[in-house]
Amino acid sequence: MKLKIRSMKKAQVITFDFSTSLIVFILFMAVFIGIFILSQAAEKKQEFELEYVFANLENNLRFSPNPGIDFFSDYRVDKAKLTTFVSLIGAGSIDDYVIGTVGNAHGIGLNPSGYSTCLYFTDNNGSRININGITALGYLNKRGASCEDVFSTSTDPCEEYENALAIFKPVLFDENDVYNNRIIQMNLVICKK
Amino acid sequence: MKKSQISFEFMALFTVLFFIFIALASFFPTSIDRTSSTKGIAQTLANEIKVKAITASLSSSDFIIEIEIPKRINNAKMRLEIYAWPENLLLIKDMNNGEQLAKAFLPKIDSVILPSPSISIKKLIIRKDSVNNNLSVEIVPET
Repeated sequence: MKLKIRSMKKAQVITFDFSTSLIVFILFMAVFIGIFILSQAAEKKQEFELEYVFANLENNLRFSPNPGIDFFSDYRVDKAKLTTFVSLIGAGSIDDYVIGTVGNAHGIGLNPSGYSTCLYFTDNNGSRININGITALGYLNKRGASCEDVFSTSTDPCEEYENALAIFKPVLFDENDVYNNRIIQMNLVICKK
Repeated sequence: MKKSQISFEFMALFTVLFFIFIALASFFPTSIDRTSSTKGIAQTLANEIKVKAITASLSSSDFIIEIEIPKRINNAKMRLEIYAWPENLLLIKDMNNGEQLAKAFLPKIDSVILPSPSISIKKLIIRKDSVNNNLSVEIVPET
């Protein structure tokens, strides 16, 4: 009888040891798989298509059904045509022009509904150039405000968005006046939803 | 039963399980790696095709480019599916089991010339006809 009880106790201890080992093993395995999966998950990068947004804007302006708004060509911005474009857009969205497709253009394979964009021009002293009373074009859907309004608050325009990208391009600002034509900076802020 | 005996049993059991774990761990990354590298290569190819399609899309003059398509990626025999407007979609699939290896959204594609899905692909031709403003993709089969 004593021997039986002793052997039962030993069996219990072995079962306890076995389950402890099993739990430790499962925990070990879970930690390993977790670390492995985490190391595999690559850091989310900006879509490479966004490199083409300036070219896409230029192309879309060319194919737009609205005449006289193709203000941007190569490295030149035509002030008169930009003024026409600003009058057309007002405080509205420019996402179709920058990210999407306008008219018969073919686009760059991005859906503009996933982005909000702002376009503005800065002079040598860093100040935003005023065109027809507007210094920043575009509309930020998530914030429910135009880029002009958001910029005036000096807050991050993409603060309610998942991701943000700011790109710029030096351009010749053609005012049709040889003494005033100058190099300025064309800036795009792209907020990803 | 002595404490040292319990401890020894624990160590023995843990060692057995640890060896099983090491065996599994050595196999696990290899199989995952192979799948992820196949998908990674397929996605790189899809992105390359997309870049060429974007270049064609933004071209203001006639544009034509041929892209050689590898027959296989690792063990996967490739099948390309391209859908014109309104989908404008490129899918790279494994011909053997139909598994999707890569996906890319393309610029607005006006027309696609496709061979039979079961035929091996040799190359892809992207054309931009600037006069008619037409962007087309042709999948050329192996002869």
